[in-house]
Amino acid sequence: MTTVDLQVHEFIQQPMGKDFNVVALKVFAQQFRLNLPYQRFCRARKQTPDTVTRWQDIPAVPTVAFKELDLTCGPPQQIFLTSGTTRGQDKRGRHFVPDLELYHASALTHFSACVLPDHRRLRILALIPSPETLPTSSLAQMAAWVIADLGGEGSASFIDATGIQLDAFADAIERAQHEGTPVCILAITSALVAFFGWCEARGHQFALPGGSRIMDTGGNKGKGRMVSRNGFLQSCWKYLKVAGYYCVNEYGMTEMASQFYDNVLYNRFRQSNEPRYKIPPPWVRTVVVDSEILLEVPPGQIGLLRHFDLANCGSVMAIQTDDIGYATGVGFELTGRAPGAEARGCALVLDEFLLAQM
Amino acid sequence: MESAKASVATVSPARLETLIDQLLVARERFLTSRSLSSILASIDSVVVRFLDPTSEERRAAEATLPAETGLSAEMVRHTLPLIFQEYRAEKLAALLQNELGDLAVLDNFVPAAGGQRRAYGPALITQVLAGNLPGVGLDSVIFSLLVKSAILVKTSSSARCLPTLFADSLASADPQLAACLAVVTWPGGFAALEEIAFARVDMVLASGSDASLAAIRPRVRGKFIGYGHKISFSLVTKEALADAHQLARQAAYDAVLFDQQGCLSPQLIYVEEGGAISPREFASLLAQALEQWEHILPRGTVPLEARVAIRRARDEAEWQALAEKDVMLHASPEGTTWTVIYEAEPTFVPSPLYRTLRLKPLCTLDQLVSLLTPWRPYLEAAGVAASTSEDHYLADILGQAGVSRICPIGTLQTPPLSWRHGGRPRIADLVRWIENEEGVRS
Repeated sequence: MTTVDLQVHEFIQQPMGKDFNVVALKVFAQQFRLNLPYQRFCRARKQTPDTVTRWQDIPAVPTVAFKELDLTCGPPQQIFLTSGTTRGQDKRGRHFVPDLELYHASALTHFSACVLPDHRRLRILALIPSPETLPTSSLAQMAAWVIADLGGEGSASFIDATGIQLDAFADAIERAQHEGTPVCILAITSALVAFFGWCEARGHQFALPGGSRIMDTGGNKGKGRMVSRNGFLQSCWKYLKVAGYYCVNEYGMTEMASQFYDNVLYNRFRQSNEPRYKIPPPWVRTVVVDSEILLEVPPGQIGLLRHFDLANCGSVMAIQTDDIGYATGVGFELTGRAPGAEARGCALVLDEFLLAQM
Repeated sequence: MESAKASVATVSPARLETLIDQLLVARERFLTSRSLSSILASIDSVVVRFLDPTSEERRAAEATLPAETGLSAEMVRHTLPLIFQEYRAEKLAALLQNELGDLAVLDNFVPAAGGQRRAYGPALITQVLAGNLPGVGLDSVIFSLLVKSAILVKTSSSARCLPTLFADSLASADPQLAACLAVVTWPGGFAALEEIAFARVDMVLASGSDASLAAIRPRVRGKFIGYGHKISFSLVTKEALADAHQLARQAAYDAVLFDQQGCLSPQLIYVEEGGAISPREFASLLAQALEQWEHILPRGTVPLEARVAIRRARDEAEWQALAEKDVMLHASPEGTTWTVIYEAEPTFVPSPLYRTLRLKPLCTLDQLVSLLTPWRPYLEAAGVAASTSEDHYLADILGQAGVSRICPIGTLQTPPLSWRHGGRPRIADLVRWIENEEGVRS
């Protein structure tokens, strides 16, 4: 670890009394020096460590850049790949991680804060592939770390090379219910939706013991049935008896070491009544920018999310995403596609062509 | 004429049934025995009003269409005459002549090889419109009336579009003819209404995505003609690059009209290498031309997804260039207003639209064959700049590839009325024929 890496690590462990801007600018300087493609990008924009004084002005790299170039400050301990898209021929984004320790620290610290605010050690049942099954998946790595460091007896992953083991998962749920052992389910949303379908088909409904909770991620990216957020929460209650405020959605991406979680469980244990939205960890800032001119918009206004993640110290700190949302409270909410936008004319768009190929 | 008319009516099933009854009765009373020449005259009187910049119709259209379509006021003002000049009586007559052989066949029997023949349009046509680009749908309204069919137009929203404005004007010019035309709307997928609209008619015309057409087709009892989404492109051969500045202006114009939303809008431009300037240099000229056009014909409103798609395409180009691929991005100084992406990789790819053009070099024109093959079902038009000696050769390649129209660069968006949209004859597709052999054999 470099000196700057260590400072970030300390920030993650104890953010109190530390200045985000100071650390961010140091990370920027390190990345400018060591990540040569990023340096070229910053020079082209004439925004360099000499001219930038606020973290908001650090040039943000779009997620597509990770498909085109190796954006790293040093040789990687691990390389994570974005999941293959429906476009088939599209290249996969590559996130080079020179230092897994920072990734580990940021992932577990914020997970604990948001999913285990009551500091319990729970049995973890994961509908997420193990790293052995999918070594290039950052989500798989994260789940494995959570199980190893924070999981109780009987923790396991239920997706292997042959697929989602719904029967085994159901057995584990039943066992926990029978024993009265609360569990923490980590799941790719579509895998849990598949489990709900499994339950419906067999007329099964389970009742997990109090204190059980669900963390889901990955949305419904083109797999299986589409389910609305409300529909999903209703199913969590119907098939598992886990209430909405124990269901925490996670938003993350391969290109970023840190993740964002719904605030519901975090707030519940602080007796706070805020509406549900995503909260960043203290070492991340999120800004919402206008899609046309890429300048920050006021809270409540829809735009594109741009994240500044200190834990991304080894690659690129400032990431411009295509994700649409608005700033609220101390975090943000995602809104996805604008509803009801109709085609204006008869010109063919790429998505239609791809759909026809499938 | 009252231009403060409410938006297009949303109908109930009972109302729709009544409307259809009324359309059929009106057609029987006012249209079936009417002469073609009188129908042409009425339509022409309405067209003339829309061509007159001082008329109420024209002013109402210029006032309401920008908000309804999302196009800028300048774009609406510029394109209205282009649309309506094609509907003048002499052009309509020429099209009828061309496709039916003889104008008189719509009025009575005329001598033909086996005896006599005559053409009839269906009693009632339903037209389903998706989107709201001005001009879309008006063709079918006019053609239907010419073949003496009543027509029910279903628009995609309650916004007042050109077919509505046309119907309003026709109502004041010729109420009997106007009684054979109705414009309504309802939310897509409203099964009870669609059942009525598709079952009681002899023919359904529909435009939209492949998915929406596939949903309509099986429910139509009579004949179905679908116009799916299409893609067009431009092609510049090396000889044509001698006058590169003018060419760039024309190529940009094609992409600028209707903010690149139409099936005739070029999404991609191939430029042959070996000309007076390189394809890379032509990309710069194209960018300059788009900037100039923005001042004359500003871009209209753009949905969020499109802006995100444009940003994504720009980011990919910028980073591919940083990765030292043969790619160069030209982006408007302000926002996403226009974009030209030069990329050496020749694969045919659609663009995010709204004035986003990809420009790709070609070593030889032969490359087009394999590049266009995957897109065959979707190709519409090719705007071409070539020397006359290459014309036949290119026309053959493009025709085989599935293109239905070849035209000079700069004229993509202003097709003549005779253009066979989707490769099919528009009028001939509407009619059925009857041959009368009586009295011939002796």
